[in-house]
Amino acid sequence: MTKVLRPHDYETSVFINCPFDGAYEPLLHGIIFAVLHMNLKPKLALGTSDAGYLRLDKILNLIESCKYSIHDISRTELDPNHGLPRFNVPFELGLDLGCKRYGRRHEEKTALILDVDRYRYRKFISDIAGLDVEEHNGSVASVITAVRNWLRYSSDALSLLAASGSAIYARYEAFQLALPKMCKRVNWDVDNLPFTDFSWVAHEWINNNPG
Amino acid sequence: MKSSTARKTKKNETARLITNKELRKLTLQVYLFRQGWVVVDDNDHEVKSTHRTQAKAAEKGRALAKKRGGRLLVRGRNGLIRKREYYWSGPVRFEPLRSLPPSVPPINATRKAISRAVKEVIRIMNAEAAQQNK
Repeated sequence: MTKVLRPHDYETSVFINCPFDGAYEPLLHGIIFAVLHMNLKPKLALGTSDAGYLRLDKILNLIESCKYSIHDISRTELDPNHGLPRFNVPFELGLDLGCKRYGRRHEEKTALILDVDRYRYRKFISDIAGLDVEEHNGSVASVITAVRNWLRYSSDALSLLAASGSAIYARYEAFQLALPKMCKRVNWDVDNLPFTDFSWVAHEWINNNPG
Repeated sequence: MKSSTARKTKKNETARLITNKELRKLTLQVYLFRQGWVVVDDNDHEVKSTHRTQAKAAEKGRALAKKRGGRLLVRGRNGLIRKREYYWSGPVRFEPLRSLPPSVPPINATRKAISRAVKEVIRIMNAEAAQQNK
């Protein structure tokens, strides 16, 4: 019998491809919280710090090891320093779509594409026309709901007891209130929290504070 | 009239707990794979059968799901779940969702220290909330 082979923790991993600057951080934190709340593991290029790999190799490994991926193509502005846009997010979206199309064992991969406006992509990346793009208008509540709804219809493991988007957002707000206190207890700077540490605090909060 | 072989629902029947592991064993999925529409066992990812159409695959999957008293998930071409069918025998309940630990260890503190800090803050916040409610 044929077997559909998959990498380790493939089924529960979500690759997050988004800008990593300070202005985007609230949305990134919202996405991470929603993913953890939906019983899945967020993975970012930031989380891997192995100097023995090229950056592109790290990204390719991440894409290959995650069944789900979230791409936020909202950051299209020109960089004020050099006047050029950043292409990393659309490039990695292309790699992910290519992996699904040509990669053996990756037919089941699913992706969520986020933007500030649902139809804005037509002006700068019209080749993805036909794919569903969800809008978030730069709001954390919208991004959490978009991620939650998408995972609800993509993942089978969590479909039975998934909380609603607004319920997850309410919990996220409570978590944000408690975050400075928790950071103080472990001597962390809440304004410079690495992605992995944020994920661990959020994970512990969700498990120890079951709504 | 009900047949004598029909399953009789007991008045105070307790719902059977289905663990996540068990749920995986009871799940069959239908999706588009290399050869066509396949029925795949979620537990060992074994392709049970391959069909030319989604409807045929769903029919086969449905029969297998009924046989094992499990569930069938039918995915569309885009990979999203289109249909969920449940064939549990009797009332069931599920394990509450628990967040999975991140795949990379924390950088600036141990997992134990983070857990302790979170628990302490939750305890303090709950105590404060209880006092306010008094």
